[in-house]
Amino acid sequence: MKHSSKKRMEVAELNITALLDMFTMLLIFLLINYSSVSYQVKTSGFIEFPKSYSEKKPTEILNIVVDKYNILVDGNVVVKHDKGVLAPEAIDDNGFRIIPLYTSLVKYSERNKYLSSVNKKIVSGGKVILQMDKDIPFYMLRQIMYTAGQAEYSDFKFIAIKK
Amino acid sequence: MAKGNDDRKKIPPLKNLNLTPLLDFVVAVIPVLLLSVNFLEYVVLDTSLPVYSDDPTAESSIEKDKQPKLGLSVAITDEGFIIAGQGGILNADGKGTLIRKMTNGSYDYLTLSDKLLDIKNKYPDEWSLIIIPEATTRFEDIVSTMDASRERLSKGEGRRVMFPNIVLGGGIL
Repeated sequence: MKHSSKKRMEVAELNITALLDMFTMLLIFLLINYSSVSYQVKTSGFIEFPKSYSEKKPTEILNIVVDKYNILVDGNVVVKHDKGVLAPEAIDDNGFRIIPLYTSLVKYSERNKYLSSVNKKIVSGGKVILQMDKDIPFYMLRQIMYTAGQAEYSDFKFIAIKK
Repeated sequence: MAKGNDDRKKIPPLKNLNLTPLLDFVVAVIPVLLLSVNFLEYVVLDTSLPVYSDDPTAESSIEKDKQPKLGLSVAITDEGFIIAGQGGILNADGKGTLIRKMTNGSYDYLTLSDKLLDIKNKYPDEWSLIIIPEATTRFEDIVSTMDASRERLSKGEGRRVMFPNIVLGGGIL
């Protein structure tokens, strides 16, 4: 009788060795793939990037995002489009300049100029990163590049996923 | 015998190592690393417009003295690529070389790369190229054409730089 009551008092211990093995392997895998990249691509979910063999890493400069439905500057929607077609009132008479995009980019350009005049470490760029959906037609890219050029952003860096 | 029994009592029984604090640490570190890991690596491709704007301050980054002498251009059309040069340097008839699309309807980037490598071997000091897409050309095709023109990857030679200064033209002027 005494022996059986002792048996009932025993507490079962969970063996976590196998779990720890798995976590250790996961930890090593994550440490290998860890990279402290300064540039983070914030995708809207409505964008598919093209693929490229380029080796050049992106840096943190002004972002223009063109997803399947919107054009965003620095994360803010400036104008909507339908498969690369903009509303007629959003485009200038010459058919190239996108008015809301131009207004937004001029603000950034002026702010950048002011900052670079105050702090000489800040370079008054003229460079812009273009995150664009792979199916956007060239006529929209042309309009965006023209508009950016008018707002003094004439150097373009296209974002792609490394092949 | 009695002494032997006493010695056995002094040896503490073997216990499992307490791994719980280590597990706590690993569980805390994993979410931090998961947030920092980039499963997709992003890269950039540089380009600029030809001088297009009325505003003289918004000029292309490519200096005028670096403008292509050969005037090499690759047009992306519905039929395929057309490689051409200025003033009939490449083709006496001035029509350019057509690289037709493949039978599956996709562009033949490998042949384009081969032809451009031939041109690069003939004109080793030439670094610039103008890509002229059609209005409906997809952005992905433009990026792939830039890839095929910029450099050539081969197992034997490694990376061979061909035309890294790419300007996007395309009937905008």
